[in-house]
Amino acid sequence: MSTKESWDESSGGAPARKAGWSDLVLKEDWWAIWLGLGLMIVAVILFTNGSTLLKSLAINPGGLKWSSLGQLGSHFQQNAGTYFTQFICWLVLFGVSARIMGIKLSQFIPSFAVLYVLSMVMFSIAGWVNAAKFNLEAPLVALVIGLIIANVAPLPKWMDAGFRVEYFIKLGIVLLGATFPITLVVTAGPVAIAQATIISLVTCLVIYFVGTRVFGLDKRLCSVLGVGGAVCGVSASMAIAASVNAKKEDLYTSVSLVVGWALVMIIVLPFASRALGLNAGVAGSWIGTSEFADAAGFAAAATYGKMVGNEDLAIKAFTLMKVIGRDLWIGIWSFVFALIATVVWEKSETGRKPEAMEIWWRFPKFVIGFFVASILMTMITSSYSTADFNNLVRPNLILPLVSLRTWAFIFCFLSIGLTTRFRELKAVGWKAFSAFSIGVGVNVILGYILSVHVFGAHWSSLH
Amino acid sequence: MDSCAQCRFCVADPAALERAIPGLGILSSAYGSVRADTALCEKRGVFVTLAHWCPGFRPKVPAEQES
Repeated sequence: MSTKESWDESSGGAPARKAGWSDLVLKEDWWAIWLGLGLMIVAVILFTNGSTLLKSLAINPGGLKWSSLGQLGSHFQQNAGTYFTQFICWLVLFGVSARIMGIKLSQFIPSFAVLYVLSMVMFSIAGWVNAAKFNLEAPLVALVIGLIIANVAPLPKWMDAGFRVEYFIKLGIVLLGATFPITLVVTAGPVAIAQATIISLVTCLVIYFVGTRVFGLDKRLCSVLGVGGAVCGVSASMAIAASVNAKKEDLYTSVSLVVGWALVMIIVLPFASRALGLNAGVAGSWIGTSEFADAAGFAAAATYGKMVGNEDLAIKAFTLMKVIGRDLWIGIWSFVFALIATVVWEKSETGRKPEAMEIWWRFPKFVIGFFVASILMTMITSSYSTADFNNLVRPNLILPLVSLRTWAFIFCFLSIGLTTRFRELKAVGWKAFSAFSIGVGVNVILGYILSVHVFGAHWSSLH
Repeated sequence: MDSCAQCRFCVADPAALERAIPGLGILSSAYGSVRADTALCEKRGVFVTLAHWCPGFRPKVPAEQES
């Protein structure tokens, strides 16, 4: 008997883990909530007091429609002080939270400064009057330029400290909640959850059974890949990895497959949606069922929304499908696989007892921030008439928050590109590639049928 | 009971986890809630939770415990 086998057979579960209060300051989900709700509350206070401070500070050059470099230069010359103040605000907010989470400031500050400058360049490109003609949508441009830099003239590896893809997208999602009526969640949420449930179950089971039965792959690897393809990419794979005692190589394989396919989807889905002439809401739903990573999905949905001039609707449909529908499955799958591993695969193989609390422990907490922001803002703005909302609330409260959210998204999309070094990804065997790719195919085809044909009327009536 | 949380082979620090799995931070994060207390056992090369234990347990040296 090998050493590993002897460890496995006699290993066991320790007492239940305690949900630590320290998570409130050590996990980026909670920081995304604190920052997102904090910014929203400050915005409401300033708006209530008639201040335009946030409106002027939430500046970005994305909507300039400049036609000459002189115009662009003049914009930056006139607003240099505002941009500098904005940069300092972002730096302080992200820097303090990053430091508390254990990220070195000596690495975070210079890398975030580079990220901010590059983000301004991305906004500037997207703000060109002819940008739409050449499909120079900000998310796509940020991703492609980031990828080129990372793979042609890579920045030092330590600079990844400031390229926090997930942190930025989570903050963006909480800020999105502030502009997302809770009534829409209530009316459109059930369909999204139903569709996401079908997709999650079918895709996970297809990858798992094709992997184990057809290709004879290890069940742990297949469970890691199945959940990665069905729910939330690498994050879901990582959550499951501990439940089933997956090997390090299993997660590494999932990283390579998820990143590879997610990047392909960011490029393909918006153009495919345009070729099929899909409504922005329908496309947002389809992207939400086809993309397995939040950040990549937002990039695809935002790109298509910009292509058809309805970014808001594409992002709303995507959020309903992916964030509200699919992400909630992470903890459930983690618990289910822990249960299967214990009951079916024998307890000795995993060494721990499954606990229902797993569902809460692994719950993506930033979703709570999205709901709280949505409920609070809906309550605050419900007392305004439609005319007052359009003339007063929208330009002075909602749009500045949208601009801040756009900054968070650009930081994220650029960070995806800047951290994707293809040579670092693992070479994946053809069996794992095939099993996962079949799951991707099921995701895309079933997602299309559900979004366009089964629930098409629902998604196209979304506004 | 000695668990992985006190074991010298257990990698639970988010920065160390992201170094151990290249590409982990591209579309995910070791700092996120969904990771919960997932950690990597360097000795066995498998993922565990901090509450896990096995006979391969080796206590951390004092310097490691402080960090």
